[in-house]
Amino acid sequence: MLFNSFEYLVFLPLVVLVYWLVPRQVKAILLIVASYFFYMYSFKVYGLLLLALTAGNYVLGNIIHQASEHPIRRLLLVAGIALNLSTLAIFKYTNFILDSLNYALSWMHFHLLIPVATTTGINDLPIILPLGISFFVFEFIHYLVDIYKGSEPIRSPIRFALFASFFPSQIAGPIKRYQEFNKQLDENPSVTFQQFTSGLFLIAQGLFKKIALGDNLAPVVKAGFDNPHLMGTAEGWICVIAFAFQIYYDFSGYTDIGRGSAKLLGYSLPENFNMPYIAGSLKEFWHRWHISLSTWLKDYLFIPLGGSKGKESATAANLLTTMLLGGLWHGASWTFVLWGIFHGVGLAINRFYDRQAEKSKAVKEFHDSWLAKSAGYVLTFLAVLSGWVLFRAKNLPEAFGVYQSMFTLRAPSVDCGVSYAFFNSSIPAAIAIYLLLFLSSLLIKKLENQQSSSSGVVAVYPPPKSSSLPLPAMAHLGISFFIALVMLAFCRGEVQPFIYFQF
Amino acid sequence: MPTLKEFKSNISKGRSVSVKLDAADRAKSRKLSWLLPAIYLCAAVVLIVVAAEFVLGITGLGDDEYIKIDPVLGVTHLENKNCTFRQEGFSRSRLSSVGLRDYEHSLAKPAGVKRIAFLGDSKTQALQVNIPETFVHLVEDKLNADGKTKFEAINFGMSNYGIIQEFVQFLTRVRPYSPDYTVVVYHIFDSSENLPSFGKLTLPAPTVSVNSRDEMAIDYTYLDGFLASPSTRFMLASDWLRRNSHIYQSILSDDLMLRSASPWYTSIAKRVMAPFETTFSSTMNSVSTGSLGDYEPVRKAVKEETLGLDKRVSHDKIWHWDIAAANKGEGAVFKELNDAARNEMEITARIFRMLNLACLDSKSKLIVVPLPAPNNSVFYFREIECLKKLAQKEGFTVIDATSKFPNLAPMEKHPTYYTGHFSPLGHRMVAEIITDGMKPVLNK
Repeated sequence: MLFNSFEYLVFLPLVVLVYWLVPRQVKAILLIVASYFFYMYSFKVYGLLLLALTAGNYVLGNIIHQASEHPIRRLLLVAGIALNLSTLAIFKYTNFILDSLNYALSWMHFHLLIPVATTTGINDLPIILPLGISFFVFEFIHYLVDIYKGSEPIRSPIRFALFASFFPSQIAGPIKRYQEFNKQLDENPSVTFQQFTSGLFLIAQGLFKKIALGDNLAPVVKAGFDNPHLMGTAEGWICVIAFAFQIYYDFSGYTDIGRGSAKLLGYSLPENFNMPYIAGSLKEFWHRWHISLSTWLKDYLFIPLGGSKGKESATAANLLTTMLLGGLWHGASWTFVLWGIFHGVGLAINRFYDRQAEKSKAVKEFHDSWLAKSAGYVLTFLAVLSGWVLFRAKNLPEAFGVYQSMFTLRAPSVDCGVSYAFFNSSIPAAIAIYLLLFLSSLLIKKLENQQSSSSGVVAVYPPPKSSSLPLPAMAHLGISFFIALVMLAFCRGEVQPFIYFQF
Repeated sequence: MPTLKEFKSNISKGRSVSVKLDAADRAKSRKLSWLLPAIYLCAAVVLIVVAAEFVLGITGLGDDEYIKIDPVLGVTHLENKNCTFRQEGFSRSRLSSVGLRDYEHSLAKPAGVKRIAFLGDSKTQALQVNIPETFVHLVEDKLNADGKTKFEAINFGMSNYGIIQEFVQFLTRVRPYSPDYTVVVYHIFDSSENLPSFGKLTLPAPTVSVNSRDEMAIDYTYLDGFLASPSTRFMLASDWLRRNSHIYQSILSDDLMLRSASPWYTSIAKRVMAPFETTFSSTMNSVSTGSLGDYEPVRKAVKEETLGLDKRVSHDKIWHWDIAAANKGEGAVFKELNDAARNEMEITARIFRMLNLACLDSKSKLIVVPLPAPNNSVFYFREIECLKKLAQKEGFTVIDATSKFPNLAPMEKHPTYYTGHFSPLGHRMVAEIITDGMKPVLNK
């Protein structure tokens, strides 16, 4: 089920209503049932896959924990990770591996032994990628590794099933940490009026990001990437910048809706974005973009590989490997591999520069100057944009075509639809309204801060009832209503799936 | 009981204070406890709705409604109305004072100007692109680029129009503009939309019927059914909102989109509305249709002129595919389809003969432009062949856009289309084909 579909607009209020009406003991079961319904709405059979992986990881987690000193622990961990990764590999990478193998064989003038390959014009194996598999596989690996390291497992199978299937984060994250989730279950999730309204606000904001901004930018991006040879220099840049914001609004919109939905149920999901395009370095970018993935990659890949403890060259190699695999996690294609390598190299250069700034006073002075800081913002944004070309392109020739349009001076063809799609759309209006919303959300935060700082004052008159409807909550409610009304004018005919659903 | 000074002092120091209220105060407090929030809530809702209307107004969004009920043509454009189209492509435009998806045009033809009237359905109306990018105006620009004669193109295109509507439109709306050339942009299904048996018309329209004496008459039964329906009356009753409220217009537009996109929505909407259907119908029956004006004289004139024109034109058959001989192996379904297409085309051919005669009577030359269609549209391509044969007999022109257009299979995957309608690139290609095809006609 898509967050931006009518079905979800019916499903969520129903689940929230029933959830708060049923006794505490039943709440978790209700959420599991709702989550499986949500997951199986589009493709029923993969509900069994989720169920099987949940059962397997639950059992493995408990066995690893019980075999605390036994040498078999490590073997069980490896088996668990292999179980998860092989499931991911079968569904996500089979065609990619076979296609690459066939391509290599044909390049070496060998006969094709495996009858599948896109490059050779033969159809791929008919494998449909289960929604959200990349995300829940990472959550399972985190679970097993943390238990191996000594954390307590989730004892209740119901709680574990809820952790694995929780619908607000099921399809595209944020990638949860089970300790935090379990702690919330211990504390018996509850919700105040203020939390409830801020949840509604997050949902409204997320829908606006997705429908009014992300979906409206999609035709601009499509016009450019479908025909890169028609784009002039300006169109090339407009197209790639449009994609940078499309993917941001699409994914952060999804996260907002997920986090908002969780809030309505009394749960809190981790933040995934923090204004990534104002990052002053690539390192900072990855602290602001898809935060739950970058922290996962750091904790479960970069650090186990050796992290930054070894020589500089080893650290650079670790960064490169981490980002390469991070790229491959996004999609089974060479463009994603190159995207990962691109960021790995970028982070290694970033690290080298930071080390030089630590060692040399002159470099440090330059590093702290406004010129270097400004250049940092610009260069980071340019690097991120350049990376997005690889991320969006279907293949390398397409990416090369877009790079050509960006980095060579040329006029657009009369048939290039990029500028037309941008200026003849509701995008400028959506941006103006979004800025208005952004400013109002800052104002609400200020109000919240003011209210919490003045919480020492206790007044009995007017009666305490009035404090149950605080101003920030009312503002959240009002703005959510405003967004809902305005958004009616932005919806398009077809419901567009979220970009990260394909991963 | 603390004094007011003590009370304020305690509060400012963050201490708790207690106030004992007497019975009258408590009653007053209870009254205020729901009244004031209710007033605030209503005020906030009104304020937010006004703010949303204002924001949508200044950003030019939410002007989705563009159709009004017309007792002669079925539907026409609302006059003097901003229009935002977002279902496919995107455009903002203003409908003219006489309800054309075009700029303002004077009724009297300016001296030295050759007028070209374009009639057609949504492909000609072209809400997916801005007015200057429609093929109607691109043709005008291209013809004027020569500089010898000044041309003025007027777009009479309207979504869902079939050939019979275009014929009636010519008699009632187009002819007063004295066009030198009348271009009918023909498309797949235009032929079938003439008959009430088509039964799938989503918007009200006049149809045609042929009686036992082989006389063709305009039939308003189907349209009158629409006019009497609660939904039409609701449209009339909500006319002000449909013209002025951006939020209301957006809701109507989203409702339409969701009905085709979400089975859940359709099912829920049906269930929710079911208990109110009787009340809704009886309330709507009391809505007057007086705002439609006295349309009977116009209808009568159209019917009489149609009968007169029909008597003057040939009724020769035009469809020449002998299904029994040519498609022995195709089976019953193909025969049925062929028979339906033949029946529809014979009617269409008669309407074209009448239209050609009406054009000639008013010194206008008829040009028919069949638009491209996916290459498996067998019967549509037969219709085009019929039109070409008819044009030779009757002396009008057919500019076949299908032969010069890229192969469309499937249509929506082609860059000349958004999904079902032309993209700006498609409009440019069609304009080029029409301009090239018109030049020999103009030079005659």
